[in-house]
Amino acid sequence: MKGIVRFCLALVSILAFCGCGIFDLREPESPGTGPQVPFETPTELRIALKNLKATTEARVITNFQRSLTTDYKFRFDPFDATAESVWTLDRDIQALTALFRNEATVSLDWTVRDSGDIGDARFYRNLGYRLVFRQGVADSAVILGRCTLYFRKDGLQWLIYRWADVRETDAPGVFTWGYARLNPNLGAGSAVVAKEVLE
Amino acid sequence: MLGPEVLEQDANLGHDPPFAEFIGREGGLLETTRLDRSGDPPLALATWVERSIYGWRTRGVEKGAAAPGRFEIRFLIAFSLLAGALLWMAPRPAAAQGGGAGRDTSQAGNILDRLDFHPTYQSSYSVNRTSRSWDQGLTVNRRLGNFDFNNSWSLGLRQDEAQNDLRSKRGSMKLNLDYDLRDLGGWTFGLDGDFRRDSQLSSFQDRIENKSNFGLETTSSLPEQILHSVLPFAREFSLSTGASLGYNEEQSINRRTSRIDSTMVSGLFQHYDLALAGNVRKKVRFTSTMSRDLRAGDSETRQRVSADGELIEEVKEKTENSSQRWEGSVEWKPVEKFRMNTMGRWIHEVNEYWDALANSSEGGQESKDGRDRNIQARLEWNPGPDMGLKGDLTRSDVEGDYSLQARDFNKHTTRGTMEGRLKLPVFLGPLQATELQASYTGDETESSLEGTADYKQLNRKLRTVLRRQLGSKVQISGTNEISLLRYLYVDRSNDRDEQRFFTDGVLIYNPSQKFNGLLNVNWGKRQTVNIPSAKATNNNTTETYKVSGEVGYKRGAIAVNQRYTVQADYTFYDFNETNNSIVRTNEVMTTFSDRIGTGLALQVQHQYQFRDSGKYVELYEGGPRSYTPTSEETRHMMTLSANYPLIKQLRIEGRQMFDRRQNRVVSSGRVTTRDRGEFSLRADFSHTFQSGMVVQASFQKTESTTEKNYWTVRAAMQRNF
Repeated sequence: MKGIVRFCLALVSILAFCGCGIFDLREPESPGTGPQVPFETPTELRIALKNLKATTEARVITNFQRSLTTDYKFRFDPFDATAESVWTLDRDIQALTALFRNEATVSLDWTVRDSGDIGDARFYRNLGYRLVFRQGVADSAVILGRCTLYFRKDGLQWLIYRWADVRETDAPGVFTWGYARLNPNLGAGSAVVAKEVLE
Repeated sequence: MLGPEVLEQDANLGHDPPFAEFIGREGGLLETTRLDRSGDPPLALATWVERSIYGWRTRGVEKGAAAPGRFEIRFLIAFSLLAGALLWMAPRPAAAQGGGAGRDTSQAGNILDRLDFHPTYQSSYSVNRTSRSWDQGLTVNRRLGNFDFNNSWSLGLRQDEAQNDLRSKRGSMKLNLDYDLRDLGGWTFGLDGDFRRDSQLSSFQDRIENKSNFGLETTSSLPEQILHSVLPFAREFSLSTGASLGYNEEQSINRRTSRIDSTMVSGLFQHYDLALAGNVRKKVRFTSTMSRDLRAGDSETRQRVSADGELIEEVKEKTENSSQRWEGSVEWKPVEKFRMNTMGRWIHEVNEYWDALANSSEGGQESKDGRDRNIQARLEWNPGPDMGLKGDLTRSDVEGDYSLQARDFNKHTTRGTMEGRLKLPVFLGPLQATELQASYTGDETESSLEGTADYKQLNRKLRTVLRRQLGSKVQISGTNEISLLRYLYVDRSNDRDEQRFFTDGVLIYNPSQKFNGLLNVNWGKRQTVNIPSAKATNNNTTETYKVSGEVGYKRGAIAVNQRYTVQADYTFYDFNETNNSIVRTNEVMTTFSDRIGTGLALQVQHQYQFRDSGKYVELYEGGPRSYTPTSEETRHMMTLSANYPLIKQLRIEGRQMFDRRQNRVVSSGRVTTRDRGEFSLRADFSHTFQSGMVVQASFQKTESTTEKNYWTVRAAMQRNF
């Protein structure tokens, strides 16, 4: 008898969790005129890069997060790192969300140099990026660097599980994406905003 | 090094700062010379030891600044020699007189045995695509009478051409000599010393960080004796206290093309701690540790422009760093089947340091006020082998305020987990012996970081697993999972929900020793809902259907296995029907393995994959959806490997892989073919020598058609002398 009671208690508890609406989604607002960001199922690495470009240029964090695994880690260039040299997904998304809040016309270009495999994982090595936040006629934040992206397959999708950031140049006024993550506010007074340094 | 494991290793760089000497560049402001102390006879031996260990020393790391660390190196070496001499002269341990637990050294062969002096040395070397690293460690622990001597060294060298030719050296040393006054109320007096050296050089920037501490310390159990005499009921309590006083020195140099910053901090430190632990009526166990650290000193900071070495700023300030810490736990175990734990932590730290505000033209004395509070409660109930319940509740608050940088943050997290397991009783008929496991995790995090929008994150997950053995040949299991991730921003600009469902069923059928079979059915759904109107157009749902089967046959050393997989991913956009798409994959993987003779193992594996993808949109508004493939990919991958043990300790493996992928654009019929070939030869060595030395190593050379050929080497050894 005790066994039945315990079983019923356990079952009721589980059903109660499911039934009380704690997993329900909220209703979105009616879709407005926001950008429609294309997202293609990343069955190949190049599609994942294409998705990152599209979502970064639209400054929409959702599709960026969709391209990362849940155990994703971002590693800073050793000379950008502060107390933490590696960030987890939550911390990185928090910083990118803040970066994407800057009102600007954004462009991102990748330069593919090298790729390879590590067992079942694959990577782009020395992948160049050039991210520009154009805020006015003369004011632009130029974010330039290289990274190595490590991909792992989740079902049919290649998702990024490690991002290792590396500085490309020490030209004044040019910063890495890691530095921009640490200093995401590109408003007045930001060191990242320069006067068309590379234009 | 590109392997993920190295990323983890790199992740530790910041937590284990190290030793390394700085080697200056020609023409720079940093000047490095070899040590030359030949005219200093009393320190000739010390110099030789120092050179052997470091190879190089920095002289006048930054012009105008005193060369740091020379005093402590001399002090440490002298201290080590003194300690060694003391140990040499000290009376032999009781074991030699036949009375102790130590080894009998009177009959030992070599000088280390005669001295009962047994250091442990570890070394590991690793090479990968772009990096190489070498780590070494030496530990010496020696107990002689009332003396307790502990000394450890570590040295790590690393190069990585993929990180702007990064060259990193890190090292540390810890030294402790305690004298235990057993007849004087359990007092222990000792000397403590440690230093760390870290240098990182790259194409664009160099950084050096050095830290040294030397001090006197004492611990005592006298308060425990007083406690026991004053409170007789507290006989099962232990109480100890400790204190230390010493000198510390920290140096930091950061050099970029445009300028150089250097900071030197030195001063005195104090440390006090009090630890209390005990049992109450054998059902309650508690611990409590309190400590306080204080470092006060002088800070000297210089900034220079590299073009002409001009000093642009020089700052001298008083510094004071302090921290208070408390950690405690209580465990209540009234009966064997029930246990309750509570753990708590409280830390308050105030740190002052020079912040050069990297990449900015300004710098200043930064003051960080950090607070960390954490409390956790756990409850475990195990009424029997077939049932168990465990619950955790955690609250964590982390806050930090900066006086200079705009990086104030706080994070408050509440997390609860509940896990249960149950094996259904016999009288439940067909459900009997079914194992049920369920777990629920919920957490709520409020996070704010200066310069970003405050937000709250909710995470909920429920997971159930059912497992049932049907006779001796069939086993079934099912897993269900539902989760919700919710972001709530103060300004609602990035509010979003993500809901996931996951159902997985597995049937395992093993009719005999020779045959095995498996059937797996899987369904998943992931729905992303952006709340703000401007982002709602990207709301989407992805549904995944997957069926896979596996059959295997094994006879003697021959084994054949085949796996079939069919999968389809449907993506639906809630407000953008034209973006809907499907990706479908069919895959067959065949594996054949055999063993020839006594040692040669062969394996052949072939993978065939066909994938197509395209739009999945309504034929007309409100009508049925139709799939139109736009691209197709066919892939064949063949892998052959042979593995042979040359001797017991050495195994070699050859592996050849060929991969062909053909992509076809359906609309134009254009076909792109990509081929990839790879050959690797690998040797693995593992052996424990008679002396006790353990060596493990693997060497692999990989030749690839798509990237530069590369070596992968991992070697490690450990020797207890």
